[in-house]
Amino acid sequence: MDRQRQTRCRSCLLGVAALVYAGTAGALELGDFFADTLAGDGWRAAGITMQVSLGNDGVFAAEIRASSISLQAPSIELRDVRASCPRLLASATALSCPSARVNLRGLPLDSPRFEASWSYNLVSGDMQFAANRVALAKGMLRVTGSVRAGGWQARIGARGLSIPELARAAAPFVELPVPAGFEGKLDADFALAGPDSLASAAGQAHVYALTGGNEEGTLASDQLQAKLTIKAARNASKWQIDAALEDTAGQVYFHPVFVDFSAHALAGEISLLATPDGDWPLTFRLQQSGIGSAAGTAMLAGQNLRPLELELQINEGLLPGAYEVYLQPFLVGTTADSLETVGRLEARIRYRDGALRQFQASLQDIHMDDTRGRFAMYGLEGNIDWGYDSAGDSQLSWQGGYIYNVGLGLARLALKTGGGEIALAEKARIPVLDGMLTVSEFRLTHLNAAINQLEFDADIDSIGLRALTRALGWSPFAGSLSGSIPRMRFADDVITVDGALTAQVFDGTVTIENLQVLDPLGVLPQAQADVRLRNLDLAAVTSTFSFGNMEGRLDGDFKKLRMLGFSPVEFDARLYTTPGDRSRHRISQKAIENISDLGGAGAAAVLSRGMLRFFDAFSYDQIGWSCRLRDEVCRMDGVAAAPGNGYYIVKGKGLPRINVIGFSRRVSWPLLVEKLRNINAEGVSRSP
Amino acid sequence: MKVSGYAAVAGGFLLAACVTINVYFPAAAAEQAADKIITDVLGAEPQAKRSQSGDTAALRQSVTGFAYAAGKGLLDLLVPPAHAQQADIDISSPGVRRIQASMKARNASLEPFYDNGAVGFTSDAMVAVRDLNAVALRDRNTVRQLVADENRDRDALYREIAVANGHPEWEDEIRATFARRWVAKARSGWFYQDDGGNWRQK
Repeated sequence: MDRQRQTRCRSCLLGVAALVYAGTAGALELGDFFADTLAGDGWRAAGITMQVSLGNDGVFAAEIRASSISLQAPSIELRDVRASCPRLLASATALSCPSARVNLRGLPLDSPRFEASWSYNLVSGDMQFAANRVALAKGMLRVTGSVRAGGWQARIGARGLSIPELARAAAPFVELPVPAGFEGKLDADFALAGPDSLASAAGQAHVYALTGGNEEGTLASDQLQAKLTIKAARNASKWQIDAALEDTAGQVYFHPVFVDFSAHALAGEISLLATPDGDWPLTFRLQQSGIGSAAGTAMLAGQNLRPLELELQINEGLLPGAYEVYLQPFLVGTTADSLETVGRLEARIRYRDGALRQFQASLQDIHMDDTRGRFAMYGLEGNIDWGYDSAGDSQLSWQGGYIYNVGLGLARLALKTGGGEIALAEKARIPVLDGMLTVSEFRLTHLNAAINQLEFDADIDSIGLRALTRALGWSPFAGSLSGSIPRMRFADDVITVDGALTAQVFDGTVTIENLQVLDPLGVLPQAQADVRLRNLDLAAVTSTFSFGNMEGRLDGDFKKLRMLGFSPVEFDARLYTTPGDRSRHRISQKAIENISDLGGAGAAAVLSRGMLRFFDAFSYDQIGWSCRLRDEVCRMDGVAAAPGNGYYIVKGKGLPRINVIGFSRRVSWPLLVEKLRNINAEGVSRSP
Repeated sequence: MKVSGYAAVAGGFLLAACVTINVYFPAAAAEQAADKIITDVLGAEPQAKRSQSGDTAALRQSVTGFAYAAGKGLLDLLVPPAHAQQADIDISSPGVRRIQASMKARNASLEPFYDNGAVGFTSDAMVAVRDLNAVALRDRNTVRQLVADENRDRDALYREIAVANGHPEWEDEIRATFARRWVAKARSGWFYQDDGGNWRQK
């Protein structure tokens, strides 16, 4: 049927051509030819006139006009078509015009005029054509092509086309994926061919100076450029498309990712099979300088091109590039949003049915430093194997690190990772300062939920107080911390310790109850607790605290202790001689001086200076000091009321008896801390 | 007639104050505290502007001031002065000072984005990215980071003021007070959200 119509069309053209030939050859004078309509397969022309003239130089010239030419696919209605051919070459077999000027309306061209040439073989019906200097989208187009019995082919060369103008011009025929608000240029060279409709396309597109953005600011580019090499071939209704990307430069913001291609040039290849009804399988390979390389396969939904399945193999992820460009933007507002990183990783990601199914990664010598100084991790290595519905075995190790200023040593963790849970597979020993933290349980759950939960059980073994206090910015003192951290939970930015945290310090016990840490890695980490000191050996305390020697036993209570960072801002504290303590109660001269001094200007040591110089130490009955800290003011009291509205801090015993009586009820806490620090610093610098 | 009306109001207030003494929120003091912090964070306004509604504002201020003074007097009667002082809003706690300093340091980076409308004050006393297009591509994530950091500080600030004043339950009222005062202290040309969440330019 098609074949027949094509033949009919060809014979009707031939008929017109023969008339022209006969008329001009016979009389060598002007002849006008008319046709109401001419029609062929997929086209129809109306109001046709053809004027043929013979110039003085013996050259035929032709002027062909058509009031309209309609094409079916693509649907185009050309109007006022005029083709002037100043040199019409005719032979027994061919008719050609090597240089014509065409003028027409109905195409979205910048100018209705362009240059053209054609030749028509009267015997075979083959036709060749070229259109030159076609002004389109503020650029220039050149189209050449031929139509033969077996099909057609065309080459399109475009230079300096404005991309938004091109999208506008093409809109009636095809919707180009150009968002509004972008300016840019396109050079392209493509070869198209087909037996009837388009069956293959190959060529290169060079997009450059692409600048602009959408209204929401979520998509924007600045001087973006890229070269795309595309090869597409149709087999029945399926298109096999292979594309390669190279020569990228400029910048793009694809919310929330910003990529500077001038610094991180991207190259890649993609192959996809597009079917009109089914899903689209694709494979890809990407490489980006300073960031890494990846390859993978995916299945896109044919309807909306959303990924149904994705398998991504990151062969090389380079830090800091990969973190800065692709990770950090998604982490803004989280604890990990300001890291300095270095290292390398490999990863494998499997995504199916709207969820991440598997994540495997290998970390290689990764170092990360929180720029806010909250934590650091050095020499991180390991393998992570996480499954959506199966628990994998993962290993992590690090050479060292910090949490705030508390140093962590080399450690290895064996983890079970799967579903919504990460749990420790076996006990882990993490060196903390000069001691050891043995973690018996670590379970991070509800990973899929908005709020994660962490459960943690650990024992502390011999963490040196000198190192710990220094790390926390407290007055350094010696001793060591051992004890257990019972079931600790972390949820909604709050660490809660269910049980009591106990530690053996200075031959006594410290018990921390009702401990809560709010926003531990946040802006203002806070801790609340009730702390109980029982039966501390004062000799041990003071020998390391360089406060001056004291002997006896000490109890203490810090109720409603509230810490900001590592500094106490609120508490109701009381330190007092352990009730019923029968040990020797001695206090040195230096300690008395320091205690008196701490009392501030209002505190007075009621003692005899004359006698004092003969004794190094004195006996005491009780020591007691209380401080209610609010708004940086310490409201002080002692062990008992003393005459003159004072209070006993040290109540002496025996002879020579010495009492320290305080009179200041309100003392500036920062001043008090400063004095303590000075006393201690003095002591530390004095002791070897 | 008029006098008895005032008396009734005053009586009603005193009665209400008696009953709700523990949850009394010192609105005027909170407003002053907020202004003090905001002025410090934003720095001095290039040129002082007096709005036409200044007189009404002053009047309202003095009325709340009176109510506050009356409430405070009553508190002084009922509880020892040391406790009554807590009905004031104290913003000198180390936590508040620390956050305030952090916000003040950040303000120099944020200000250009308040000026060009990229970032505005929200109705819940936070900041939000309003117009990403006002920001160079390269700086868009910096702005998102600045906004996230500022909001973390602001959240912590409102909570800390409430906690440091011994009334964690005041957080919402403190936030609401700040929401109003940020807008009041915003410079001309800056953007803020009205109660309906629509952006408006001051």
